[in-house]
Amino acid sequence: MKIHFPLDLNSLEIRVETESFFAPEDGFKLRLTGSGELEFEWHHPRTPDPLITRKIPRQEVVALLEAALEIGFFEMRDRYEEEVVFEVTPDGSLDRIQNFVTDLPSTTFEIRWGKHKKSVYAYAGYPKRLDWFLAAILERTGAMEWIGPLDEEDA
Amino acid sequence: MKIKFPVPLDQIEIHIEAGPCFGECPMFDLVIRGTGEVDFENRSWHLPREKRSFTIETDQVKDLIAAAFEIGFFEMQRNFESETRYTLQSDGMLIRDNFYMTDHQLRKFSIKLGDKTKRVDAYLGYPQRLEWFYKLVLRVTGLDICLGVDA
Repeated sequence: MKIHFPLDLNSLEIRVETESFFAPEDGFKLRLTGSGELEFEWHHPRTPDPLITRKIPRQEVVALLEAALEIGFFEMRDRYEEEVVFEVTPDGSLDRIQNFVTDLPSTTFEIRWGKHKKSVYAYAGYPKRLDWFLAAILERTGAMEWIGPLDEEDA
Repeated sequence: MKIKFPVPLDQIEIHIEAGPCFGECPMFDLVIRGTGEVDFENRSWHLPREKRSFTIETDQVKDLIAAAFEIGFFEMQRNFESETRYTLQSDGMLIRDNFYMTDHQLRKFSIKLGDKTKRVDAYLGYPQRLEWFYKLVLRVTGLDICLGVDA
């Protein structure tokens, strides 16, 4: 999927939704419009207000779009659901083995522009640069101050 | 690009060709086969010319292929030939401009897996993860030292 320029930034929207089976209170929803309007919904006992809104500079939205382009977000698969392991087999081949795992947290990223949208569901075996992208979204929107830094391994 | 596994090791090949630039960048031709055989030719004008063959572990080749998947190599565009800059106009329109420059280094990457070959030419404006992969290949083969690359 290709994103074409010039692009009306007002038509852009970035959404992130995280879910955790074991700690549902950790899950959050983030929505950022191209004009910089941010909605952050987080039903965690630590936060007094489950819906936080703020406005961030549009340049931060541009920086996040650039980050999405840098990581090849628009060329990614729509879903990453299995752990992938490569293995050299005794008969002299390289095999790709998919393992299904349960109970992991998941993150769904979605970028909308005009009538188009690209979403990526990241559960297992997804590219690590998606973690970097998530950290960039949380930092640039200021949401990191509310939820605290991600684990070093994740960031 | 859809790749069918398993792939026989003798049908796997990672090839990097690094061309000249304005300055002392390492120029070389490197082929790593799935069986672990490596052919290397140092073409740098500022370094001793040499051709040599050696082997690495097949597990190391496996790790390099896994890294190529991790960086999305097989989904990348074919050519990266210009720097991209984005400008936000006051009316909210985001403009993308491409800047072409000369005298940078062209790196040609190709990875063959069975009957599929993916090629990426990286000259300017390529993703940082491709630079990471380039350095990883040099580090795994131990060629970073003789080429003077900080990998």
